[in-house]
Amino acid sequence: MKRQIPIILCSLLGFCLVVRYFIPHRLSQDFESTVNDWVRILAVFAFVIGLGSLIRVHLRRIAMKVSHWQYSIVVFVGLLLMPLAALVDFVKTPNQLASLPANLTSKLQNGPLPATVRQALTEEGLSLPPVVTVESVGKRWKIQEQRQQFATDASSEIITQLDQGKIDTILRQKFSVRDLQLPESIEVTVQSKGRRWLLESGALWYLLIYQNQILTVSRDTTAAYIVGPNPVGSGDLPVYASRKFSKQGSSVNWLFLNVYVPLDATMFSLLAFFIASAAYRAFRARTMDATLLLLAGVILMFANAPLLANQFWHSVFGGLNFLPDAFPTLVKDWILQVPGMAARRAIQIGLALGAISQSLRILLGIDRAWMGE
Amino acid sequence: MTSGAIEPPTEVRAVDVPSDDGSEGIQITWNPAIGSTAYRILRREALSADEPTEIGEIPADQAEHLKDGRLRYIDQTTQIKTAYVYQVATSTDDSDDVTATSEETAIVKAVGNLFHRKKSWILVFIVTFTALTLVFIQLARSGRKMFIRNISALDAVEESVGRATEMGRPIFFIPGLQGLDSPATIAAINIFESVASEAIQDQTRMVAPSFDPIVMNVMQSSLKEVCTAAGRPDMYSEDDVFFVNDRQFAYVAAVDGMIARDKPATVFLQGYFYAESLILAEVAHSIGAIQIAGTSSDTQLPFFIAACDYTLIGEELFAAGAYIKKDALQLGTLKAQDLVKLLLFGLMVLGGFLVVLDINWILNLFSTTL
Repeated sequence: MKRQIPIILCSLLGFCLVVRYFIPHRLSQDFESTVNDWVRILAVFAFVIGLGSLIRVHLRRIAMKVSHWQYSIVVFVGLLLMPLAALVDFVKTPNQLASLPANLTSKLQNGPLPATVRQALTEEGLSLPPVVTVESVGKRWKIQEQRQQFATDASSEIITQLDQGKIDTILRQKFSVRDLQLPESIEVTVQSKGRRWLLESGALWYLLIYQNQILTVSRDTTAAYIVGPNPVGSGDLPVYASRKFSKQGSSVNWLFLNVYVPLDATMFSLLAFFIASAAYRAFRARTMDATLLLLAGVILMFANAPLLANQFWHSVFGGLNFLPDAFPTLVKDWILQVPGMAARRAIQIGLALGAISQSLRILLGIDRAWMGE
Repeated sequence: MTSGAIEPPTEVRAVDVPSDDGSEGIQITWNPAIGSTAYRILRREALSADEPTEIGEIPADQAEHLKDGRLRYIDQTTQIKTAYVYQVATSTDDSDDVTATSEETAIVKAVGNLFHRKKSWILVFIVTFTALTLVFIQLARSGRKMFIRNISALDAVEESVGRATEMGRPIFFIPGLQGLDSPATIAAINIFESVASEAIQDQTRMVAPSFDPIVMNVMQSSLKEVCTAAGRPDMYSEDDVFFVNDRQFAYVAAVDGMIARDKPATVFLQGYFYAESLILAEVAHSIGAIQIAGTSSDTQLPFFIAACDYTLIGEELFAAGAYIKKDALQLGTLKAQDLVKLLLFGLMVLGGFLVVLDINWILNLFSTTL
């Protein structure tokens, strides 16, 4: 019974899904969708089993100090590093500055910030520039102001004070003239690279660049606040400072982009060398089959190299007027589309029939390999 | 209904779009009206007394023409199971107003259908295949001998296991990069069972790094059963069939590392592979292992053929389980498969012959545009 129930279930469900393929009715689609959801759920549990296997195997290797056991430590470093980075990201999750009441979320749409939303956010303590716009970004909203920039003369005193992390009164006045109010509580971060300073005030950022005795002030308000998304899908929307919001998940991203992706690309790039070594072995003309393979390979490489197929061909065989201009390309296309395609289709038909036959064996309960029998 | 000289469209019919779940709407067809430059489609709910409203307008030269010369419009704005009636009105260049409106169609609803008509040939094919399979299974049950040609890659299994035993090295079995829902993976597990059976009898260790946790589980169970059946339960170790990683090149890096360090005598590459096929095969070759490969990926087959000692080509992968186990029922299904292949081959030859004679109807006989 322990073996029969899974076989009966497999056959029943398998036949149901085959029948479903021919029924376009919505109920039939819902059935398939439900089955797929179950498969996804099971896959998550299966992953836990896989993780258990991985940990057990490598712990045992380390404990028993089998040969090359040190590599198992590398596995654990990798295994722990990513969750740790995710934990760091979680701790660094930006603080929510305010929340937008649920009844106002429907008012958010691309264009000027509605007065009711502005009032609600101001009451929550956010300082908003006079003219701001709302832009939809996926499931979030960006409240932003057009970038503003102006240049002003700067004395050496101003620069010295900036270096000391202070804001000079004259500079503050220069800002005021341009209607860029600098709050009293402004914090100044001195960047180490060149003559640049970053001024931060809540979600508003100013970039100061000194060059040729001119101080260029840019108010970087391309994305002052991010509204949403709500993790539970409805209700009040959280509001974050956009700069900090963009740092969300940055550790995991950094590891992914700077460790995993290069390693992945390295493995893939090995393929180029392995193709060369495999081709060398396969192209040794020791038999008739290998000779044909070599011949076809040489023709294809010749026709695919522009220097050979165009310049070389025309300079050497250009006098043979009875041959068409693009003769190498024509031969290549014929090899690919006639004998090559014929062989490929024969294999594809065989594979399809084999897969159907295998599926029938499983549905009929003749093949039970999937049960580990 | 008619005003001026222009005639209204005639024989206006509205039917539910076939082979859909009801969401593709209602199809309206009519005979073209002479002199009309555009058609307006009018609709109202059958149970309401409202005036019909216009749901679409198509210029006469852009209307879809059916083979029988009638015109067609598909209304995709319908609600499922709501009853509608339609009219088609003509208009001319002279005026944008409706000049002639057809009679109302019969009541029609957009509903989900119970059979996809365009899949009829697929159904015929599957029913034929299944019927032939059942016939051959019955023949096999009645004791009829089924001949199957030699497959050199599978004949080499015994030799490769023996080599591993003599060298005192393990056998690596790599079951591809797909899950248990892939027929190729199940075929690979069939081969794994047979290889493990030989290996356990020779007291040779089988190692199977797995890409998918469910496949790992099934292979563990399979190995355990093989060890128990061979009377060597002590040979079973859960650590020999283990999960590595479910990322393509991370998996390849780990398996290549294991192959380079453990130096297996034989490497089986069976299942579905992607770009990693050649990387795995070449690394196995570099340490002098015998490689027996098989995949249902036609793009990776050339790489295996070039790099491996033996390769299962095409359906040989799916036939391997039946071939090694010599199971009469499974061999019966292979015979049915061969017969279907022969039928298809016959159809292709017939089709080629007819096309040469300029008889082209066969080209579109089985076409299914889903």
